[in-house]
Amino acid sequence: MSNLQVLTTERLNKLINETQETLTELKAEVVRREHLKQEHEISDLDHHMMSAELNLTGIKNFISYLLEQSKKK
Amino acid sequence: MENVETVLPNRSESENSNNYIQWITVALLIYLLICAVGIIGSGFKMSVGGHATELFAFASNPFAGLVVGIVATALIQSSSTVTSIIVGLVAGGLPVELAVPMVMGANVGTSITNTIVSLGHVRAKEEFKRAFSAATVHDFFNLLSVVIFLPLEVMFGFLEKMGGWLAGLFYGAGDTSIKGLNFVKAATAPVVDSFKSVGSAMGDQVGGIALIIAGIVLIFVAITLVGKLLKKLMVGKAKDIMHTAIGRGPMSGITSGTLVTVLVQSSSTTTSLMIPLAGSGAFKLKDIYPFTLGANIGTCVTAVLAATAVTGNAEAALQIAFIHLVYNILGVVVIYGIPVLRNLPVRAAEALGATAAENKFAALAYILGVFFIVPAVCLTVSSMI
Repeated sequence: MSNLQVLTTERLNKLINETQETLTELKAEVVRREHLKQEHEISDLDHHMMSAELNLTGIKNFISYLLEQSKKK
Repeated sequence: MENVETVLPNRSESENSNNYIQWITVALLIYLLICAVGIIGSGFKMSVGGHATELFAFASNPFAGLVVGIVATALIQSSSTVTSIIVGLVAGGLPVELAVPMVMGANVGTSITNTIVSLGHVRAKEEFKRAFSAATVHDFFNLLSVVIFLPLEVMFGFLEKMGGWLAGLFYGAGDTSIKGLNFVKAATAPVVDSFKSVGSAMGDQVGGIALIIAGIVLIFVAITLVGKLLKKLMVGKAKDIMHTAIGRGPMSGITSGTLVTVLVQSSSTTTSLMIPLAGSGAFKLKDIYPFTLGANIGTCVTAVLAATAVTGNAEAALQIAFIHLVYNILGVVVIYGIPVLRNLPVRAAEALGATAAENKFAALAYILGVFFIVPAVCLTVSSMI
């Protein structure tokens, strides 16, 4: 866009409008993809229900991870 | 192919009958839960007589009541269990003003469950950061809610008044009130009376304590089993509700969080369910936050249900159940409704998540500190004052 100074004001306004439209479209696409990802995760809810259960293994793994880290130091 | 055709309908029939059995079990367990609250109330009344205020004198300091609620819920891992026990104790004579800080504490204590669940993501740094933030946003919201409402309650007793007014609607309308039409109480009376007669045979003190212990065990078993069954039975409905909430803003998030919690009868399940969703990166903290607030509201249903059938000081029992509900609704309205307050839990959770991702010992220190050490120190200090 090095030739900005030679463009007419009309042309510049047109470019601004086009850019804004593109930006809106891009944002909408990002939101659509985010929602799609969320839909996909929710479809897996049965699996998440299981992994979200509180169990001693999770706590044990966390403690053993902390011990590993403290030994490394 | 003939074999397949003959086998498939049988399988679906057996699934259906299995579902029926599970629903009947849920109904029986809820019946057991309501009975258990009544049993606790009767046991408490039997063992302390009219001396409940003296017995709970240590909790006359609201801070002590708050700490009791936090630690008890953090240990039992279920706010529904603790609030149901509190409802039973109030029915048995525990003064409502002493029980209010306890239900506030139950709210804080229950948020330990999803925080512990988030520790499962510890080996992946970014995932852990997201999961831990999603878990602790619930903690910070509940702590902020206590900071705002406990002093106001101590000064003005507004929650007690609102809960009293709501309970009065059910108990103060003569023949059309809950007194005249309480089928639940009539249905649970035979079981509660049988336990009472066994307790009476053991003497007031021992029998009363035995009834309280039996009631607590029954509530714990009923809520745990109902939670497990409803998780299986309601996962489809929960999916539908959550699908509907996607992209529809915070109000929809709060509503779906409430509905899912009512369906699975556990706020811990709902908030813990958010952890893997946040950990994967699909849901951002701003998406998770309203959903966890809804969980706070949905979890009050269990205690309200239990309070409809207690004997003894039944109106006070319903009052404390409504106080819990009003407190949680007001918490959402005030903290989420005021923009300056709304983002405080989010910012605090994000900062803690980032710190814990860098130094995992901070996560351990946070859990032990907030749910056990600080309450214990405060309880000791407040008992010395």
